[in-house]
Amino acid sequence: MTVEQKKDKKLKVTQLCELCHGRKAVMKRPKNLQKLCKECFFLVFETEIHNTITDAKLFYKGETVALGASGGKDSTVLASVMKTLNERYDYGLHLVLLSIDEGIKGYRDDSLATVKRNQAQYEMPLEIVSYKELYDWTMDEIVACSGMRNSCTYCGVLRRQALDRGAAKLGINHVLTGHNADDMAETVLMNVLRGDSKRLDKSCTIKTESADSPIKRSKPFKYTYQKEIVLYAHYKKLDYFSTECTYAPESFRGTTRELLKALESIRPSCIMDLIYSGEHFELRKKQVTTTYKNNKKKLPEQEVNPDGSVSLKKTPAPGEARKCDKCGYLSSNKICKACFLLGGLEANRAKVTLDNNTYIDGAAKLTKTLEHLSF
Amino acid sequence: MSLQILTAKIPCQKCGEDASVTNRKEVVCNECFNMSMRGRLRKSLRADIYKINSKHGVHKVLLAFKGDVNSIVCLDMIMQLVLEQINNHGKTGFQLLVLNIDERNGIEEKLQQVRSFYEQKGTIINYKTVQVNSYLTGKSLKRIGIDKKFNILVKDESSHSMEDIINLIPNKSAVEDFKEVIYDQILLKQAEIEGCGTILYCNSMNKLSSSILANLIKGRGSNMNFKVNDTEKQGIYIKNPLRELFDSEIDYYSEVNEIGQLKFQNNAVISNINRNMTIKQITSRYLNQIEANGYASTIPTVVKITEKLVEPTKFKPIGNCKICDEVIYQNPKTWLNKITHNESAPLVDEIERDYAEQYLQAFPPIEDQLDVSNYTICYGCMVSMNGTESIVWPTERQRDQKVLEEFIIDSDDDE
Repeated sequence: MTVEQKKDKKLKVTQLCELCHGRKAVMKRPKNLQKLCKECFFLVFETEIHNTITDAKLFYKGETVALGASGGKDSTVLASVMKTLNERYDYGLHLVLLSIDEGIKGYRDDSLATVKRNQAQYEMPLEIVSYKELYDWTMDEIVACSGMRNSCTYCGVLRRQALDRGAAKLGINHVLTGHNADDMAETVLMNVLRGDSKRLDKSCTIKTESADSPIKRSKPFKYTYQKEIVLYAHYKKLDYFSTECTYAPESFRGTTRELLKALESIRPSCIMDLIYSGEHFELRKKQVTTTYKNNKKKLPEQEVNPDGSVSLKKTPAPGEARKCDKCGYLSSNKICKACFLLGGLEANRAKVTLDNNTYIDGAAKLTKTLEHLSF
Repeated sequence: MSLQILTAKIPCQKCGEDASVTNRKEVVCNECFNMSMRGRLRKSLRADIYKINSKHGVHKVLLAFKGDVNSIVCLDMIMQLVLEQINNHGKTGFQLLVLNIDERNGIEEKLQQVRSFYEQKGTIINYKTVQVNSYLTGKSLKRIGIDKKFNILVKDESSHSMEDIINLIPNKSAVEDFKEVIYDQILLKQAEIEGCGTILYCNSMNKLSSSILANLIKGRGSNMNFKVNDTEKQGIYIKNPLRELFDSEIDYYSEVNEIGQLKFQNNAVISNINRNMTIKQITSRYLNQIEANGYASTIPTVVKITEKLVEPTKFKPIGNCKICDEVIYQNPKTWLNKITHNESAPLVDEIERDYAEQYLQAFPPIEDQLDVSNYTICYGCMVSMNGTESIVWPTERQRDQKVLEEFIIDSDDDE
């Protein structure tokens, strides 16, 4: 807007940005309901992410980092913001896009097209890894076999490993994901509702490194609201794919999301409040009884495979990384979680298939077909 | 957890009499149901201080009585223990004081009715009603606000009643939150005044789980375990003896023992529209819905996992909250400053700078109205204050001031 145009258009004080007080407020910030102008919003949004990164010391200079890219708003904003911050604050990072094709027809194929456009826009290399080539299963096939209710459990475990494998293929050991504050709050709430004592005190960690994975994962959007990500993408006119996964609403996470939505309507800060609460979680240490302690060495662990068999391979020596007996990938157990879940599915897989069986194309494909019907 | 009333004639799994109900996968008669519920309460009390000839002497117990079905059932179960002790030994092992914080008209008459109900059974109940305004005793009023940098601003305030103070709180959820703080502290103070060694809250498993979720959502997660586990505050034990019981079991117990008429009728209608509900009402509705949708074990799971939580050791406590008196582990001011950036983008021309000047004249910053203090306020209270510039709150007077007030009898001699 030119100075003359500004002079002509007189603003009321109540219309002004609550941070700079000098420009017209165009949006209400979801985090604290502060009315902000576009310039102030961009500044606070980007600076808060930068502060999160520096406070948690997420990278070292010159590190090569893979950005988990799904084509959705979170990963698109992640790529855009990381490119901006990398240049503004001279992080010295080499950024690479890493995509997973879960095999959800009518959903993932479209979003991958967006990732490919992003690759050109942000001038970053792109690697795509698919479930089909890694596990010989697509998500559509898994849902056809196990039902929609557990879809997120399968997809989560498989995607985590697929991201690791994709990163390892590129020789990268650090993956950034677009998990935002809403996801984090949902996780805190879900871990309490499910009584998940293994994960409860790790619900809010920004950087995860586990024995199951040689790749560390970080979440620079830990304190960023999903709604702000949408607003940022909107004002920056970013190119992203905005459809929710067809299988998501049926899951337990879906009900938690609904609860959070209801709470946000009366308390917008509830997302941050949950994260603050989650950061204080600490579980009572398990007391090991003396009898168990003494007998521990005499009773070696014997894992039962999904098909009922037991593995006879010897356990690795101390210090030696344990590998999955089935796929050879790093695992804290004899069989990695992905192989364990797939083993169960394999037992239920149809031995005979009909030609042109469209059932396994899944709900996303069906919805898309219906959308294109005209009468 | 479903409780089903039986219509067919089936023998009780425990005594062989005609069963009346299926509860927790057991088919039982009303008498065995009562025994099992009372057994759960006694197990939760988990102490020998209630026993006769206890080495601790006669212990005084305060029951936080609200007049709802939970309070009535809890009182009845404890009175059964009292009656058993009187019948078997001619005396009781503990003294019970029923305390009500008066917030409804007619509670006094209801308490009289409760008293005469148990008098007919052969025992006397001691009860006491205290006013909410008693919270103001020995405290000075302060107006407390928060600036953009999350500093706590304070100014002395003239006299207000508790009703005025609550009316100044910005929204329903914050009122619910602060009322809980007030009631907890009144109970603690009354227990101290009356020489009670234990406070019993009448929260069922359903109430506890929705309260846990509400506290989690309000940013009060660091102290959640204290809400569930037996704990000690200022030398007084705090317990939830109904924590093993579901709402459905409490309702059935009240029906079987015909004590429903002692309940104080609550005619308040709870809205179904999110915007008109409080956080606790939303969490409670969610738990009921999820239970009906096939995730039946969620309510006990929430309580059990919270029991396993301990005080966070990764943070060093920095003091107690000036409002709710809870321990603060992670400085909320530092945390909020870490996650929010409050600097503006630079103003680029004269017109923008003119507007900024007009704005500051119209809305002077809160820092100009209150003084920066060294008060520490916990995250939960800070967030509940959000949405208003400041609240009025009674705070403990300085220790020195208390000493002077207590021991100076004539201030004229000062000069």
